[in-house]
Amino acid sequence: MASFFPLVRKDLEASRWPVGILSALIVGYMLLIRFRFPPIGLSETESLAVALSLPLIFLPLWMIWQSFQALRTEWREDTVYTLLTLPIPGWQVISSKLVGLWVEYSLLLGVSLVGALVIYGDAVQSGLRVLPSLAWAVRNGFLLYLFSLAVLSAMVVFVQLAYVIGKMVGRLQGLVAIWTLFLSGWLVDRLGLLLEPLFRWMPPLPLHKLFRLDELKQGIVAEWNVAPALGTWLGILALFILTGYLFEHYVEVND
Amino acid sequence: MRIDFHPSQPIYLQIMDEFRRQIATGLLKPGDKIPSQRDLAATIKVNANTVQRAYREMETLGLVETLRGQGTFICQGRGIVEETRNDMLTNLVDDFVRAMQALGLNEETTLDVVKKRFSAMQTTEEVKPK
Amino acid sequence: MNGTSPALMLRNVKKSYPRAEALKGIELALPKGEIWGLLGPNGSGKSTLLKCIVGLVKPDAGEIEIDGNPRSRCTKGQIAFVPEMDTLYRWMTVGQTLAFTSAFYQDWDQRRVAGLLEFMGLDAGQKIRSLSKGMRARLKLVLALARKAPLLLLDEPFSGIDPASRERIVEGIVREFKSDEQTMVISTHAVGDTEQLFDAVVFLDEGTISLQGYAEDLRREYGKSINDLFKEVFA
Repeated sequence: MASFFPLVRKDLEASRWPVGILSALIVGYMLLIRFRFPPIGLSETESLAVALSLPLIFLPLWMIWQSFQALRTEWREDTVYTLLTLPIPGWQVISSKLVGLWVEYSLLLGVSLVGALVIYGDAVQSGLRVLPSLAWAVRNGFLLYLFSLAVLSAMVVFVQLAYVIGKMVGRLQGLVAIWTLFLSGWLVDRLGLLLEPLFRWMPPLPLHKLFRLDELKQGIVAEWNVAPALGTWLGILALFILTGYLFEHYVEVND
Repeated sequence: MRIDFHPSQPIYLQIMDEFRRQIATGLLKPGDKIPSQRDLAATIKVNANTVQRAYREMETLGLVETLRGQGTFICQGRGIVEETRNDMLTNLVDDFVRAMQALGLNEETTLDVVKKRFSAMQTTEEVKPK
Repeated sequence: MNGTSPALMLRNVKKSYPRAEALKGIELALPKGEIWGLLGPNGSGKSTLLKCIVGLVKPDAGEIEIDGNPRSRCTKGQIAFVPEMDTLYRWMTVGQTLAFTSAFYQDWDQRRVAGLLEFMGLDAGQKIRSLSKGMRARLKLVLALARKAPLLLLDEPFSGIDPASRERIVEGIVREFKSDEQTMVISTHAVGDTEQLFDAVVFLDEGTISLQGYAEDLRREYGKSINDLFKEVFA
């Protein structure tokens, strides 16, 4: 386990340039929207929505690209030789990349939110006034963040599996990878439906309690039937373990 | 120490020959310390196992002795210099005689040639400094 | 550690690629404490064989044992592999590379690092990106020699680098190799003046062993240098 931290650290240090540049771009974009080219006919709060929505839509796409990139650079720069020579289990390599991506995602999200807060100070405050309290906003924001991390992890697992399987075949690597991506997505979806009866005993998750929605408006009820999702998440976990196993035991370097 | 190897012959023998040569010419004297195996290996860039083999053979032949914790030394006394010189001399002359025989020269003509060469080389030696 | 088992044992190791058969049933047993030269022209399977031993390439058939143990994640920890390619992270410094590598190996000996760096003329602050090919080759050797790995595999450590680096690497190998606890395999396609490094040599020809033996015995038997023998076999 002592070898896990250096792996994460390596991935973080390797991506500090793209992360730094992207952070600067996000802040620059917000500054431009706020001061240089304010959208005509929009209120300050609406302008804030414009300024925040682009980074927030772009971020998931960027993270998919980065999860692909995190593995691709190892191959392109031949450093995969080093990784495959190390006496460590395959899951450590891919999970260190996952943790690295968590950190990268959190940093970029933080830059977007803090940037918005600083650049749109007043608009953010008036926006918050609609919400029950600051504590409520922070709490729910954090829960949403955790949820998005889970979704991010699932995406990373799919991309990693697709990439590793692509690297296991001699030719048509890209095509194989894309097919793996679709197939594995379909597979875990099917698995969710298949295993659903097993988890039917689980009570639905009361989202209105989790997010304290009654503070927003009395009498809202939102429940999430977790039974089909559980199978899917188990499937994703299985794919993750599979990727680690394949990385350690089946991946070869190009000859 | 520098050795120009002829890699067509076993290297450990060439290492031994080099030590013999240095003993015979007085570069190394009885009681002198010779380099450790590791140092010699690093200097002449030869596998340490090969150097070890040369040292082991030299020990068996009584040319050198290794004192625990002190290093390896040329053996003291018992006419080791003489012996090595004679060995080398015999080998050199044997090679020479064989070569002369191969050219079809007999003892008399060979000695004659040797004498001539000796005087010729002495003359050039005397001329050279001027 | 098992005292009786060979440092490396290969039984009928085979590997095929779509284009060619790289290894056609290699049988080899290396005793401990020796430096073996794996000699053959480019494309003879040397690199594939070394990669099979580490686990970078999975053989189609055959058995590989390192000190009596079948190849596994564990045996990776006993092998110091120096690949021919540039496999270092280019954005790291020399110091970062050393720190990164040291985290994964229990046999890493930090006390040797400073001396090795000095001997190789490397500085911990240098960026990998700014090093010449010869200097990177030196660093790769430092990474292997800073460990007390029982088995060292060097893939073409002398190819394509400047003479000064080549000399340093040869001397580094001779100086640091511990014949009482290590075994080394060095692959090369140009024997040249490195033949004095080898206790024994294996000639690899299109995936099969065409000749093998102890260097001194071969010299005596054929009256030729290993280099000349190599040229003759692969002429």
